[in-house]
Amino acid sequence: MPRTDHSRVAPTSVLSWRVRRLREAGLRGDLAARIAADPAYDLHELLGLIDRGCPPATAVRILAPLETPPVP
Amino acid sequence: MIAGAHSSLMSLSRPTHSTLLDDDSRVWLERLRGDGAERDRAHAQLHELLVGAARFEVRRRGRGLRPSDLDDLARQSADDALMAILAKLDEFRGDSRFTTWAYKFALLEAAVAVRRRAWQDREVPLDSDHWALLADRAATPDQDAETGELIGAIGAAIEASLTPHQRRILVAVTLEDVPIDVLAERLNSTRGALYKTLHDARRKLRARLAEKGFDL
Repeated sequence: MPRTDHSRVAPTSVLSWRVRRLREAGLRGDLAARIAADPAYDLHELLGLIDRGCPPATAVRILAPLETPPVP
Repeated sequence: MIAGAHSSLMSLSRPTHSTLLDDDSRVWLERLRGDGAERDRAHAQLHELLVGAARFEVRRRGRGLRPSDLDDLARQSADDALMAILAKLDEFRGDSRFTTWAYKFALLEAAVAVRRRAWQDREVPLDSDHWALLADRAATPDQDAETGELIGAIGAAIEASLTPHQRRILVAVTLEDVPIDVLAERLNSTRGALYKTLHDARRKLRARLAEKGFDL
């Protein structure tokens, strides 16, 4: 029967690829690792915001899922 | 009276094509929209059909993959196809048999799954300076001067008109041949969002090239 998306965890290579992209965009290492592993974040939107001049930490706050506490 | 009029309006507002549907398609829809054990049986039966279609497509496209991977991909594709079909059941218009319509979902999901698997262990380039590849291509001796000039202008427009992230997406998809669904998955985004970025980037490039006197 159908599986949910939750059963699909990004492989390590994809996670490290995402971390690299986020670090290149200016995110701190710990924040980049957390965002890379969180399926609620759309990295394309995040990188697009940073691209348009938004500070990385602010971009993360803007795109934070509503049900989770904001990033300090 | 009012209830009857309301009922008539409701039946008008919901597009139904039952008169156009073949018997087999109508039965499928009734069973899938039903409830209880019969609906569960219909889901399971449709899933098995989708697995068959997905297996065919995965084998066709996934030469070189291990048999166990092929079967895993086919089942994942069938899972995704079933979810998509159930979500879009009301969009089935009866232009084809229901099973033909449903097979297309399985074939699409299978194609996406094979592409993703093929790129799973490959580096997905996302470097804004890779646009220089374009300039390299322009330098091939067999291209005429006019084409070389245009390609050179496109390279310059990419650098001058696009933001770094637009450049990365454009270069990855158009020069590095990264499938858009693979890139969407890597970025935890949607194909639609990437298509919009590509559309915006192309619009900017076209405007820039027109400014420079190129007739596109």
